[in-house]
Amino acid sequence: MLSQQIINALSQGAFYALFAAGLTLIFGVLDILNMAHGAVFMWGALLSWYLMSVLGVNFGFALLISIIFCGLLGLMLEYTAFRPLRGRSTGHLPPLVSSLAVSIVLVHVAEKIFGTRVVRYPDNAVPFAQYVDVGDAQISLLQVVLMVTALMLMGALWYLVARTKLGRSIRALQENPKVARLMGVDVDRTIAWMFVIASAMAGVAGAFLGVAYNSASPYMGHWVDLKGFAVIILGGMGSIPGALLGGLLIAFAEIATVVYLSSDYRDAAVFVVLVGMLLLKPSGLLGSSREVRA
Amino acid sequence: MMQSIFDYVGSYGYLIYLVAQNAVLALSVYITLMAGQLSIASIGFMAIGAYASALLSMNFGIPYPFSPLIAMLISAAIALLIGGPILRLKGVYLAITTVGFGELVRFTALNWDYAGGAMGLSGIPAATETWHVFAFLAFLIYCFHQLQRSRHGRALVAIGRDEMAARTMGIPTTRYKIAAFVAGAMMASVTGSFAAHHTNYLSPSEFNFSTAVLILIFAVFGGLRNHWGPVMGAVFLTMLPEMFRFLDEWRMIIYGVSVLVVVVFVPEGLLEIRKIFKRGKDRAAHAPGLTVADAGGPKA
Repeated sequence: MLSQQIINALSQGAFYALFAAGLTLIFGVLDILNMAHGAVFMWGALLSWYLMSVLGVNFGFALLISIIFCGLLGLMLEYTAFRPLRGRSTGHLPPLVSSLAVSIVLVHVAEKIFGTRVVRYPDNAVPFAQYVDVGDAQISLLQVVLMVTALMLMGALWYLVARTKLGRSIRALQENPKVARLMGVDVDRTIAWMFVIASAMAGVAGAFLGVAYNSASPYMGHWVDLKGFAVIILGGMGSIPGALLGGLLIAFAEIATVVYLSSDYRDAAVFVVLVGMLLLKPSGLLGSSREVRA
Repeated sequence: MMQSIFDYVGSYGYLIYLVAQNAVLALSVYITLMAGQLSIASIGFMAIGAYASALLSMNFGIPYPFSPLIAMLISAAIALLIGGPILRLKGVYLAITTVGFGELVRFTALNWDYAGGAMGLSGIPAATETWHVFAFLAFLIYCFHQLQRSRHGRALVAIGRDEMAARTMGIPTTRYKIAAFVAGAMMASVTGSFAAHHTNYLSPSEFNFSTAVLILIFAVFGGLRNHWGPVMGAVFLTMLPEMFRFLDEWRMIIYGVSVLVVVVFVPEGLLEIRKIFKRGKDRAAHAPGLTVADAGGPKA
């Protein structure tokens, strides 16, 4: 029983980490909270659902299309909500509100196309449905694939930031945007790539969550946005390993609440952990000790 | 003629009520933004005000004008209690914590049987007339008008511009920040109480995250230069979906696009739209008030 809960928490944590990685990358470098991340995630889920259940495409291909589409949504987001405001010393608020506006548009366009109801996947379309016995627990192949995918993508993202030329530009940007520009970093291009990568990862998270929970709806993004904020604060804003750690911690806190208290308090537990963390150590577990207090 | 006006007020009665309610909510966010604090706690205090007032009148027989009043004092006490630790955080961290506060209030209402749980509360005594909210809004606009030109108003704006500098100048920044937070909580609480006694029904789902951020959008969309910005933003954005009613499902898309266009082209808010036509002139010369940049804090 307990081992089953641990397996569930691990796969849930992997999903949170996958979603939050893009959020923490954007915030860590640009100091911007991307409020449309959940809406992009929702599109990843609904688009893959549409491809699988209406067009009968298999999961792998649907995932690929969703990744490309969400990457493009990220580019659109950068061009409409963030680039026009860059360099205008407008502070935190306008980018927050402009990305909120894009998220409103994305949610309602999804409503228009896919309907407002919660959709289910056709039985034969769910991939990796087999179960494997591990001791007295069962683990679905889908959970294994999700965990492996999440770990690989997080690793790839870490490698990208730490070891590649684009990553060097990203780190330079994080250090000081003005100096980065002087040193020949193409700031706009680098940021555009960051949004493409972050949004593509949100798309992967969406496609996986849809099949794992066998449900998707235009409103699934709000719930996940809140969890994502909790994860990146817990792990430390801007830290990719922090997103992984934060995702796992939130998932374990949730599962522990469900097991020992009641499933009613599942979501409340997340915010208790979050507020506690903010009051004790606002920079998060693995965050750099940037100025977060007045 | 007279009849058609009554028809109009009749069919749009609730919309007119919402316009005033949202304007007050936008002001409750604006007062904390004045002091540079991005707090999205209004929805939580609105819920506290609504539930406290409903329960006081239903279970304790406290008559109408007093139940919102006591609810307001409860909200103020809670704001005072949590304001100290919460306001040590800044920027996005504060915003996320206040979102967490709102969600915790909602979860409490959702899981507390005494407060009706997921079913909500029904049969709340009807008492709030539309003019009550308008009177409250008018009173607040008067207060903001007085505040803006007072020593305290200038202190808040100074903190919003540069907290460190304000403290160096001898302004008790923590006290002002908490005062602004408590004032915002009280305004939101009163709108909540009014709403409870207006619709006679309460459900925890009314006080969700989407509504919380809408209030913030009202304020920023209108502009933060003075209190007319949030009021105008709330009025405009509350009526917008109704004006585009004929577009059916497209109206919320239009809504999102309008917010995006205004924020991207006039990040200072709708109130500053004339700036677009004045590009190139000396802008610093006429910027004594609060700008959006100030409220967001200096960007690193």
